[in-house]
Amino acid sequence: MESTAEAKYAAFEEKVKRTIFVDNLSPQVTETVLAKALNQFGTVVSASLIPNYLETGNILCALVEMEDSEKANKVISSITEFPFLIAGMPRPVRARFAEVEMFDDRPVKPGRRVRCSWLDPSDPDFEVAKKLKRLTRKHAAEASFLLKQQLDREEKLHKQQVENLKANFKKYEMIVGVLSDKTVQSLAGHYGMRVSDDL
Amino acid sequence: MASSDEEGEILPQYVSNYHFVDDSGASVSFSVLPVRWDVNDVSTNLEGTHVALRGTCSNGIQKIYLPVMGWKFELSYVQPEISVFCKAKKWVMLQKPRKVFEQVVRKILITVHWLHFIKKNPNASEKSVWKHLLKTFSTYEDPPSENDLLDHKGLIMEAARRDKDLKASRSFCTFIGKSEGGETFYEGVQTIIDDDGSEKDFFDTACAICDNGGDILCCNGRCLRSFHPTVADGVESQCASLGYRNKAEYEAIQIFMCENCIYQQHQCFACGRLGFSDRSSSQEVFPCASATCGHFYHPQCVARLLHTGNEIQAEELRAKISTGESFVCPAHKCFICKECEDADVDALQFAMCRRCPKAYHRKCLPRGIVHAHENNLARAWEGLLPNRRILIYCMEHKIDRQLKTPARDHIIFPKVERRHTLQLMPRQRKLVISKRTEVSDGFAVDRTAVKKPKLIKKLHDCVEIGNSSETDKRYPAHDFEPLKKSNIIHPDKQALKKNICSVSARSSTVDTRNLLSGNNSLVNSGFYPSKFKQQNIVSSKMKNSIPDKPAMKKISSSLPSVGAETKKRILMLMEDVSSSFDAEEFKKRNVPNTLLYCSRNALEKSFTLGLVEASVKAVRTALQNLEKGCSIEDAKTVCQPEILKQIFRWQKKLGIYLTPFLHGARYTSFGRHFTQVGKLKEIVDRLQWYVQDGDMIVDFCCGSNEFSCLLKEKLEQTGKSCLFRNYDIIQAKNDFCFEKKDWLKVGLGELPDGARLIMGLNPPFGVKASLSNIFIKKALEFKPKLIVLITPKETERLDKNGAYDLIWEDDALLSGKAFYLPGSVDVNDNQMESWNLSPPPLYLWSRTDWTVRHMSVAQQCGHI
Repeated sequence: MESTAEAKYAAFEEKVKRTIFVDNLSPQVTETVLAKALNQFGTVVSASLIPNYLETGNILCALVEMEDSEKANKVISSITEFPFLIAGMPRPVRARFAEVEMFDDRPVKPGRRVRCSWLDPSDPDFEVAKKLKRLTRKHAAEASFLLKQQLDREEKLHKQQVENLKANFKKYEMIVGVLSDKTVQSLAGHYGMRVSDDL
Repeated sequence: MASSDEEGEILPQYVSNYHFVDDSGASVSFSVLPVRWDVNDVSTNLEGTHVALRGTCSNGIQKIYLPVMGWKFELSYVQPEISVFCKAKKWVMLQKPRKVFEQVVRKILITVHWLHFIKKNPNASEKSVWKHLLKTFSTYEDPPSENDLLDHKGLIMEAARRDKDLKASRSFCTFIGKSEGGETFYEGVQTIIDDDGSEKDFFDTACAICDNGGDILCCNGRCLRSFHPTVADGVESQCASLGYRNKAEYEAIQIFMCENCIYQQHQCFACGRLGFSDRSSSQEVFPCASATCGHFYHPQCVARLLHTGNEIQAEELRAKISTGESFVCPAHKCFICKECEDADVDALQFAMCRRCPKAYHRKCLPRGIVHAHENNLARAWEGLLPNRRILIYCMEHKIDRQLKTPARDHIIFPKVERRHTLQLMPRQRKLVISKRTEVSDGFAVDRTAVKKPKLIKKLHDCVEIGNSSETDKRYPAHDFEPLKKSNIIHPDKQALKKNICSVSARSSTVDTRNLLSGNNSLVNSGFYPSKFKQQNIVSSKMKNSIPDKPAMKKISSSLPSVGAETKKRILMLMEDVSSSFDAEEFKKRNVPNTLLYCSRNALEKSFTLGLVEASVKAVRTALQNLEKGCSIEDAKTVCQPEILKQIFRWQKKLGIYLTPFLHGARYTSFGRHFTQVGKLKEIVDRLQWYVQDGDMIVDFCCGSNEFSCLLKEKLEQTGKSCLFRNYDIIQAKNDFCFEKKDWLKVGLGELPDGARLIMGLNPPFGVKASLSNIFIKKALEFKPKLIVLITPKETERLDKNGAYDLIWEDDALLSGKAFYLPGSVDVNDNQMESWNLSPPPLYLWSRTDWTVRHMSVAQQCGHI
């Protein structure tokens, strides 16, 4: 009994080693899209999105299991080296090694037992627990603040880019317009110019 | 660095009109002196060279003669600075050399300016570097060229050793490569630039305010004008500029529009008055129909110009234009002979007046304009306008002696409501006034140049509203006179009362600038756009505050609120991170070579919305005119043939630029195309016959790395054992003999002799096969006996130099869905496939000494 639990845990640890944590994914990304995207660097065994309980935000993260840890390492370095966009979203994803705590289906570590109990306010541990609770909340608040800042910046950049894109698209439409109704071509004909694609 | 500005110094800080003489009194360049790299080195034990600096300071009032021992140059400022170290252990900065001395110092000056420019613009192309130098040294008879650098190669090398910016700059590498006489990689790139260089520039390359070139910001509106964005950019011509403080400020604006275009109020180029230009019933001014002309006119003004002396015709035309009929303004016909421009014939190129709609052929240019060089009041300038046009001021405009242009009162920006932020300004102004008296007083008492820079600094410190005035402070001392504020006349007198505050605000800023640049005429010459300056202050203020202030954002209430202190800390951390991030450095490090070349195809700044709009409209107008029976000549003044070519180019460029948005909503990076396995198998089937036992097969851009695996399998079946090497910059799915390496960085020693090498397959194509060419060029360095390629037809052929022969090519093999986009899935989660409208052929090239052998294999297998 004991040994099977240990073996199970060891197998899980192996799995952690060949799994990467992918962050900053856009909401359009599905597990299939992600698996396909990373499949070009190596064989993807599985890909699963991690639900986010803290933030209602729209940034996803996921765990992707590769064939082995060496491959996982290479995928991480590839993604870190060049900005990697998934599903056409202008947000480069981030990747790093997964950690044990990221798996919600992780097996119990052999020899470790978790006990839950209510603490009396007079208990000396009560304050400690309280402190831990406060600290967690504080960290969450700070992280949320930081995320908001980053999103604001992204939003600003996005607006600029959209503006730029719109302007360029407008140019494109105008040019295509005058080309598609053959105005340019017939004027070129009047000028006696040769019009070909390889100008 | 420079000598302290202690009171009572006898040495000047700046010397102009300088030249250097040696013992015998002969002219000698300061470059014979040792360079003092270490500014703190004040040793005097330098024997041997006896060189003395002669020249004038205090604007020609005081003549000087100083024995000097060394020199140095400083590249970190807006302009390069050269100083000499005189025997009195002081540094003296050099300004302009004496005209006759120019030839002596020509090479060293060009070298220093070259170093300065490539340090500031490390990614500038060769072409733009020399374009800049040509502008800087426009008065030289022989244009500056690379030959001027060769004499100072030692200096360049040493400068690069001490300055990593220089060393990393593209031009430096090219220069070193060329001067070593060795083949450099960059030369290959050079040819690509040249290809693009054939494109003509249609946008005004000179600033609308001061008519000088340099770093300019193009308006995206219909006016087709450019402006110096900052005072520093226009320092050479004392340009008032748009008044931005730094690059970041105007680069944040994605689509810059000048205020005339924003508010659709343009000036009539004939009478100078503002009028509404939006297409409505109340439209007052109308744009010229010519594609590259951004001028607007009142119908009556332009009609009178086009039909001088014929009231009836003029009235007819006026009525037509008022109803929106197109017209071409007088600036597109020679004022003398009334003929059009022919850009291909030198004598028929145009000289365009910058202040009124007048143009002359080179051959028709009145003598008065050409030969006005005496008294330094040139009216004609070459090299400033695109397409070899000459920039002129016709005889109607009086040249201002100081500005070297006519008075710069020609631009009026429309007036809009003021912003309340300006109420701060009157107080500021008082300061200026009091300081100004100090300046003029001080000036009257002591007219030496030594004092001036200090005064400027003082004055400036008081006036600057907390901005870093580094560039401004560095202005060389110019002559300036006390200003008269009463000279300011508001363009619209009725608004004067209401705007009193704005006027004073304006004058304070304008005055300061003028004071500094020695340019009084802006103010003296009457009205100057009020909105112009004012707006800039407002906008710069607002812009400054944006990055600093997002701290005030609220966060979700479910969590404990983050204290102000914490917020500040987080913001500071963010600031730290972003300031420590050097985007340029990041690009240099992380963007693979191949992508770097692609970015050259990015859209230019001068490719503005207004230009496209004008061009498209001109095309339609020209065709309509032709259909109405106009002559081809007339149609060409509306729309030059070059514009048509340009439209095709634009379409191509934009098509490439917008590809991800037009086609690839579900695109997953890195934009790679892999060859389908089925196609690879076909290629392997053919190629196997040419492979000998013991060969090495190199796939220089292996992608998924399937090709080698397939080939290996095949060869093993036929009993051949070969080596494989596969390169790609991105991790391949299959690790077989894979090395993650940029092909362009693979060294010669890493692969065996060419007689054992078979190389190639599917390189990235790039625009016009530019990338394929680079990849193939690299492959040729290894002299492989056989090269197999999937490349577009435009790729340079390998038999061009006679080193390789074509065994066969097959343009049918890769038709159909031969490629797929790795990592990308469509809506139904299926792998995205792709095909090329004109499929790239598959080529087999053989080194000439192997051709006979490979040919016989091909014949035996029926490949040919």
